[in-house]
Parts: sequence; C-alpha cells; structure tokens
Amino acid sequence: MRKFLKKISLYGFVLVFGFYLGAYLLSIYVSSRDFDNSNTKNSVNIFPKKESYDFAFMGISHARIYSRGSNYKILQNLLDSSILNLAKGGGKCGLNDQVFYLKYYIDKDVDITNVILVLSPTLFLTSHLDSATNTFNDEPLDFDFYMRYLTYEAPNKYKRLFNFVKTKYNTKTWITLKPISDSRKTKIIDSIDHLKLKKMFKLYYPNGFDGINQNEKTLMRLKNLCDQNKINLKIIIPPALFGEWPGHDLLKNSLLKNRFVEEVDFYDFSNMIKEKKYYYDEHHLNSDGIEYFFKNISEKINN
Amino acid sequence: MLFNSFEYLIFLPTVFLLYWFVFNKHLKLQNLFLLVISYVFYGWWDWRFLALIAFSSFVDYNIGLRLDRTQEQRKRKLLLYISMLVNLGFLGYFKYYNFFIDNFKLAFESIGINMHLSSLQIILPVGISFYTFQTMSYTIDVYRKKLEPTKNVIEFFAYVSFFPQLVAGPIERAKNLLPQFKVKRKFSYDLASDGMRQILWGLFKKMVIADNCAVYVNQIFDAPQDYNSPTLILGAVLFAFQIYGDFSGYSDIAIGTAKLFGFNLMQNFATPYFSRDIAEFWRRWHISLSTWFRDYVYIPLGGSKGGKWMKVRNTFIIFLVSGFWHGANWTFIVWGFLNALFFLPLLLTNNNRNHIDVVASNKMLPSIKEIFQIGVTFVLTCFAWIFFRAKNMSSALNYLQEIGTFQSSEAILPVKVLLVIALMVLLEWGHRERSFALQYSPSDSVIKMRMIYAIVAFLILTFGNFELTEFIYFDF
Repeated sequence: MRKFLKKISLYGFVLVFGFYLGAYLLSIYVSSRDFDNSNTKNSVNIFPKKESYDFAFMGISHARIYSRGSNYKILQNLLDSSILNLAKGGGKCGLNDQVFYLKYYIDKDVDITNVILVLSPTLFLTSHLDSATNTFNDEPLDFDFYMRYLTYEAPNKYKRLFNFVKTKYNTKTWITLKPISDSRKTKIIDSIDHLKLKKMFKLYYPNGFDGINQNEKTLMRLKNLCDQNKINLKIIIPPALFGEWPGHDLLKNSLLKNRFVEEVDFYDFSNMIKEKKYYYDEHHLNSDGIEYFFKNISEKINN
Repeated sequence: MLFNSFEYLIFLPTVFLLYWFVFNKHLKLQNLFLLVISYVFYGWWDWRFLALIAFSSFVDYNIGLRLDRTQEQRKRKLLLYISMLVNLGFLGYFKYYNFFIDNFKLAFESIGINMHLSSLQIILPVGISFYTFQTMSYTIDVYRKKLEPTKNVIEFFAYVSFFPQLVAGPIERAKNLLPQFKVKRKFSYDLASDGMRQILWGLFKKMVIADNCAVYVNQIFDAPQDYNSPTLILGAVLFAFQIYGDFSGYSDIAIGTAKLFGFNLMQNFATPYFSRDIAEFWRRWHISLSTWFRDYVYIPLGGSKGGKWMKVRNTFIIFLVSGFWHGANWTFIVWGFLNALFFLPLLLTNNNRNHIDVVASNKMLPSIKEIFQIGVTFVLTCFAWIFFRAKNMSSALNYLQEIGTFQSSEAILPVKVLLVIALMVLLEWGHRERSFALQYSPSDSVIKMRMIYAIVAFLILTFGNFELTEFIYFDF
C-alpha cells in the first residue's frame, strides 16, 4: 500500500509540476513578442507596465476598443495622458475580475491617477461574466498573479485558474498569439440589424438581469479601493448606435440608489452618438467614433 | 457524482484511504462502508431516488430468500413475476410511460379520436436501467437455481448499489460480483496499479476523445443543412468515436475504480471497432448488456436452435428490445432494427461465429481482407449510429437526405480531434489483445509504457474537456 501511495503521489507531482512548468515556459515564449497596450487584443498582463499612468480604463469590449490598434495613440493624444487599458473584450471578464486587475497593479506599485469605468449595462446587469472560464486565456502564466487570484474571492475560481494554465497549451489562442496591427479601424456599419440585436441581447443576458446585487457590492469595493489609493473614479455608460440597452434604467436606478451618482463622477453617454459612420457594429465605435467621442468628453473626464 | 468531476477527485482518494486504513479490519465493516459510500455517491445526484434503489434491493433480497425456501413451482414462478413486476414496473413508469402515452395519443388521433391523456413530468432516475437489470439477473438466477441466494442483507444491498458501476454499468451478474462481497478484500499493489491505468485510459477516452468529438457532433447534428456531405459523414464517424469514448471510457473508470477496492468487474468493451462483422461487433460492444439479453431473453426464447423463422423472430426481438432499452424513442428502436438486419444474414448462413478471436492475432497489421471487413462493419455501424444520435426519426432521415444532396456548403475538419482519435486507435490496435490499451504486460518496455502514460495524462490535462459533461449512458 505504501509503495502504491508513494508512486501515485510521485507521478501526480511530476505530472502537475510538468503541466505548470510547460505553461510557464510557453508564457515566457509568447510574451517575448513585443506586446504593448496598443497591440494586444485582450491581454493585460502580457506587456511591461510603466511606473505611473494618468488613466486606467476598465470594462468590457466597449472599453477595450479604446486601445486596440491606432485607437490607443488617438486616445493618448486627445487626453494628452498616459493610459493603461485593463478592459477585456470577448465576454471574458466581469466587474469582479476587473477590480482584481486594478488591485493587482496597485499592489505592484503602479501609480494610477484616474480610473474610468466604462460601465456597459451588460457588464453590470449580468452575473455570467464573473464566472466565465476564459478570463485568463490571453494572459501569460505569472505565479504572483496566480497566487493572488487564488486568495481572491471569485466564483468558479479553481476552474478558471485551471483553465488559465491549460490554455497556455492552446495553439490557436495562445502559442500563436501575436501583436495585432496598429491600423485604424475604418469599417462602418451599414444598418442596424434588429434580428441580430435581439439574438445578441439574449446572448448577453442569458439569465436576465441577475447580476445587479452582486455588482452593486463590487462597485462599492471598487470605490473603496480607489478612495484608499487616492484615485479618481469616474463612471461612464458608453454610447451605442441604438441608444439605451435593455435594462438601462435598472443600471441608472441602482447607481442612484447607492448614491454613486452623487459621490462619483458619472456620465451617461448612451444616446450621445447616433450616426452610423462612427460605429463598426451596433455598439462598438470605430476609430473615427473614438476620436469624435473623446474630443467631446475629454474635458469632462480630464477634470 | 460524475467520474470526471472535482467532487469525485476528492471523493475517490478519501474513500480509498478510509476503506483500506479504517474499514479494513472486518469484512462486514468493509461491506457496510461500501454500501454507505455508494448511497452517498448516488445521493449526490438526487437523494430522493435512493429510496428506489433501496426498495428494489429489498424486494429482490426477500424474493431471493423466499425462492430458496419454496420448492413449489407455481409459487416460485409467482415470486419471480413479483420481482419482474416491481423492477420492470419502476423502469416502465420512469422511462417509458410518456413514450407509450404519446404514441397512444398519436395512434388514436390518426383515426380521428382525441384522447385526453397527459404526459407526466418525470425525472429519469440515473442508472435505473442498469441496476434494475442487475437485480433482476440475481432473482432469475436464484429462480433457475443457478445461484444460492445471499442471506446477508448488507452484502446484497452493497452488490446492487456498488458505486463504480451503479449508474452506467457494467451490468454485473450476481454470480461474478456477489461472491466478491463474501471475501475480505486485501490490498493488491498489482490490481490497484492496473486499476489506476484503466482509470487513466477511461478518462482519456471520455475527456479527450468523447467530449471533444461532442463539440463537433452537436454542431453538425444540430444543423445538418449547413454542412456538405463529407462533413456530415465525418459527423457520423465522430459520433461513433464519441459514443465509444464516452461509454467505454465510463466502463474503464468503473472497472478501474473497482480494482482499487479489490474487486474485479467484467470487461464491457473489447475494441469493438476492429470487428470484422456485426456479430463480432456485438460480442465486443457493451458486453455486459449483450450477454444479459443473450442469457435472459434470447436463450429462453429458443435462441438460434429452432427453425429459420424462430431465428429471425428471436433476432429481431433481442435487437428491438436492446434498442428500446437505450431509450423511449423510435430512433433507438430503428437502431436496434438496423442492427438486426445487419446481423441476420450472418446468422441465417451460420457465419455469425466466424470471428471469435482477436483480429490479426500475433501480427502487426491486418490483411487486406481484414481491413475491408473492418471497414464495412464500421460503415454499417456508423449508419446505424445516425439514428441513435438523432433527436427523432425525421431528423435522422433529414440527416441522411442531406448526405445525399452533395451540395457544397460549409465544411469542418477538426484536425486535432482526428489526431487524438488516431492516437487512441493506434494504442488500442497495438494492445488489442489486452482488456484495455494501457494495461501493462511484463513483455513491455517500462520506459515505453511510462512515456505512453505520461503522454495520455498530459493530453487529458491539456486537451481534455473539463466542462463537466455527463456520460451519454446516464440517460439510458
């Protein structure tokens, strides 16, 4: 029996060690490809960080697009500031994990002056993003980050951490990951496809508006974290070609109820841009759109 | 509790250590512990249905004792019928009630009569088809005086609910399993190591083969109109490997787990896709169910001993019942019917036992003739699997129709999945004379086998699907 237990433990250890070591080496290999904040699609930890940033953006794809390709430069020029984009697109990261990313960089002594939370209604109203298992698919395995997340309170945590390591062996999404091009996003939407929108809302709100209670608490934690570190927190609802998202009122009411509107700078830009030429799809701005948007709001968020 | 779940990862080592270090002093204690953990294992899914297993065990335990005490044939028959009624009654109610009601209504509606019968919202208790057949085999064997009934209630209850094979087999005969509960188990390093290797192979087949095939199979079968003919054919082939990986994977984990506790369960799959005809396929696929039907249905009906018509009748009965056992849907019945059609010519020409031994025994490669035979058998099997997989008859026919249209639409070629299937086929071919592909033989090079174990384990971690998909046979 002892021999059996010894062998099983030894094989188990070697297997797990090899699994982590391989993932770590593959992370180093992929990270060596000259990534920076402007040429990553969804990775936050893959590029080296500066000591300080004027702005950190948080959110989902509606914030992530601010730094994809040439948009990053556009934004830096318009705001005349240094920018760190912590947002993650592709339905990969909920509010709880966004707070974790921010906390991680604060703990790593990255100095941040302003945080702009791009609070898309789908990010706030649903809970499924917080338990998505693909959150760390595009991140290199960093044991410090891994260990900190291990002690962080998050749903589905172990499965997500396991996927974090496992996905480093994925040839399609990780091993071949390369910096994206820095060209302008010039595509313009033809017209609003209402059928597609209907399907999209179903996909974005798979269990209805089930995340409000949890995300109210997470917002409060974010506010406290910012207060403790003397960071200005600003919340914006991003523009969409169709205007307000389903559940928009619920989001606003929740912010009102929790006095966020009074205590934090809050701007609702849902209906601000209604011209097709500024969008590449129904709710994502193209490069012209981002330029137009930030020209109009830079004063507000720079204050 | 699923074998591929996190809970099981905690459950198995815990009960293993408790079993060998705490409850190993007495046989009674070992059996009682196995009974308790088996009920915990099953109750993890839904504790309410434990009452069903307990009741079924209680009935058959008592009937077994009464059969032993009664010599009067009429009374013995009555006791057997009571057992059948209880077991098949539960099975019929939970599994087939809605099927009969729906078809009854449809039949009457077709002649213009509206029957006001409503279907029931019933949950199918996991594993009911398996443990029902297991308890029934006990009572039938006692009735036939082929088995002494057990007088130990714990032994019997533990035999019915033995957790490794409770929910999806192998359907163990009392003759094989029950005597193992009567002897105190001693830890065997070789048996436990063999069990671990079999669990590893089972997990590979389930998580790497079956669950990765499932992604494409679901995609293709859900919208066959979107794909071209080669992709639809590939969909059927992938399903053949999905169901094989899923079910034989479960069986391997079950048998391997039993070995960890000192038990030997029967082999349930023996490289069925290397079969040279359908008869051989059915001797190698779901062996515990095929032999159950052979012993308790086919042979009592007269088997293949009677005239031509009797052979035809019995063959159809056995395959149709086998199809129906899989589920209350016409697709399963047609699947059984097709297999009967494929099998019958072999039986009627006395060619059904041509291939008893392993293909290309003692050779590296099969002959051209054997390759052709294996190919034809595989194609026939895949054809029948289309009905097995389809949601209903019209979907199955639609799938076949789409294969025949040869329209150029979307194509799928899952290269990685095909590569791991190729690895599985290669390993199974190389070790086809063993009870599972990773089984160690003294003639093996230790380094080679360790390399294979490492690759298989690594593939499970890196390419396995950890999304907790249920085993297909849980639904049967």
